[in-house]
Amino acid sequence: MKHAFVIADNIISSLGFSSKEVFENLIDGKTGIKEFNPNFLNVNFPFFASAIDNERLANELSLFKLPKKYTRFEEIVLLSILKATENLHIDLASSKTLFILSSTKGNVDFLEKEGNGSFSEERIYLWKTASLVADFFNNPNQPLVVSNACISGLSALITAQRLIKNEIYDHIIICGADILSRFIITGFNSLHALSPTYCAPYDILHQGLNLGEGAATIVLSSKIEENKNYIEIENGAITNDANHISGPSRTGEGLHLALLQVIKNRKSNDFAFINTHGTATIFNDNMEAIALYRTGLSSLPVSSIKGALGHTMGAAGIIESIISAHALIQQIAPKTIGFKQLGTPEKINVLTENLPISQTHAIKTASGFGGCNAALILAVHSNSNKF
Amino acid sequence: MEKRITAYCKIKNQKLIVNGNLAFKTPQEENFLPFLTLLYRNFQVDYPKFFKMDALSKLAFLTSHFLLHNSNFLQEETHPNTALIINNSSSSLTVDKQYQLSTEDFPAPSLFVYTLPNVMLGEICIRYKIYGENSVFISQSFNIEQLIQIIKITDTEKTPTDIIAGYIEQNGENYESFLMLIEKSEQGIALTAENVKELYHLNP
Repeated sequence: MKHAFVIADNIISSLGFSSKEVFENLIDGKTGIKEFNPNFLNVNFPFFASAIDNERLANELSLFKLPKKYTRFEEIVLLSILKATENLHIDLASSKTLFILSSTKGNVDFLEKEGNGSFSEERIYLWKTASLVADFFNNPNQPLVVSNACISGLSALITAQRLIKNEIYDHIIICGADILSRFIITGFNSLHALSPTYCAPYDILHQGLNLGEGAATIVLSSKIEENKNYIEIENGAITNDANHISGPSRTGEGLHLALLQVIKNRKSNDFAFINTHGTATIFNDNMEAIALYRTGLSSLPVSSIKGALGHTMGAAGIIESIISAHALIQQIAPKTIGFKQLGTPEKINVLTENLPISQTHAIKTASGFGGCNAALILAVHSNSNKF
Repeated sequence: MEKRITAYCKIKNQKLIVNGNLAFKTPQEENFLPFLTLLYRNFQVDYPKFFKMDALSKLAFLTSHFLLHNSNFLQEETHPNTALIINNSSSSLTVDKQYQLSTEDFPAPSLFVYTLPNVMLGEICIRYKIYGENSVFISQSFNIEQLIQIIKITDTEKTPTDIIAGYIEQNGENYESFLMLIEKSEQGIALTAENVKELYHLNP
């Protein structure tokens, strides 16, 4: 049995094009969310969201001389993987290296265009994006594609951790990505799930989520260097509420079960913080507060970054795991941007200020449509006295 | 005790095949959705929510119905640690297109909620009170080797008591589904790629 360590990562988002830049902006309390006018993406109503800056994207892409034959979604996936792996000495073309893509909607914007320019029809399929990625890096393995709604990123990490643990692959490159589109913005709006202003996770004024776009990459490996600290993905769990396809369980059943499975015999104060789903919809926030209470984690510091990057769907689980990993290494957890006064039925400990931390473990959770929930344990692995 | 395949079910080409036996075949050509409705009525499946589902979820729901009603699964009322591991190719593309069309007039939330492939697993979990792991993996076509690899690494976690796994795919009029129940059993069929290929290609 091997261990799965994070050896590199990247985030492409409204708050920057590297994990370091995004993490620093979060610690500075910045938000990448802004108001867009109704002409943006032809949505026909104004909305708040977190978008990747196109000018900077073009500049970054030109640095890697990426050929102009990819869609915007494919571009952010490739850019994130290129940036995550640029200084790594691992063989991306090896049969012991696997690529995993996590996305909910991929090139869904194809559905709203008359024809798709020069792109073939099959680019709409997620397996096609994944095979473009594997081909780009000359990787011989059929890539894995995970599409599990808003827990996709955590599902992908959990699957990757198990593949490393069982020694099937040495290195796995996991990229999570989704873009803003008229499809998803009008969809969430039709469910009355969008906040009319900046979202406020767990706040008494929470009234919906902000959508966001992003791409993020984690490279997991069983092989690490000496005298360096790494984050290990220790274990994970996925559950279902068996309650409703589009609304979270009122009792937080699935999330409670997932948390129980991952925390095992550990107590609340064994963990530095929990980075929650924290979307700022009333249903989600209340469900999470109930699940934390039921699991005995009411006092655990709660950090949600949806107030800074919005809900980035298939990227969210990867982005938020990277932020949690950096928080453990830097020993500071970012506050929950947008939160002031608690508005959930059960009392939880939502961070209003950045929190200096000393523990080595953190929990990451997510919940999504279809009633799915996921929980993951990240831990600092000190490698100084090994070998 | 090792986990083995104790039941399997396939819906394809207007045929329902349960545990290797032809259970139903239409007397004449039927389109996809009328065929599913015919199956539902013929076997008196009593679950009105079926009619609210999108086509992919209807296919997933009926396949799980015939699989589980022809196994010992329903002896338990709830299934806290049953895992669902499903392979699919086109994600929720059919209902995606329907939802996209609705946005030209009035975006339909009843369609939007089905525009994710794992929602079909949510429907199965609700019907059978399954609280375990559930995941959708997407590949160009049914990837039996990859599915078995994922089943095996999931099973090393020791959490799943039993696993429902297979391929559920629908894209317009093209559809096929194949599900297996995998559980601890002395009988049953060993979980190997060769065996799964054979069961999947059976065409009585």
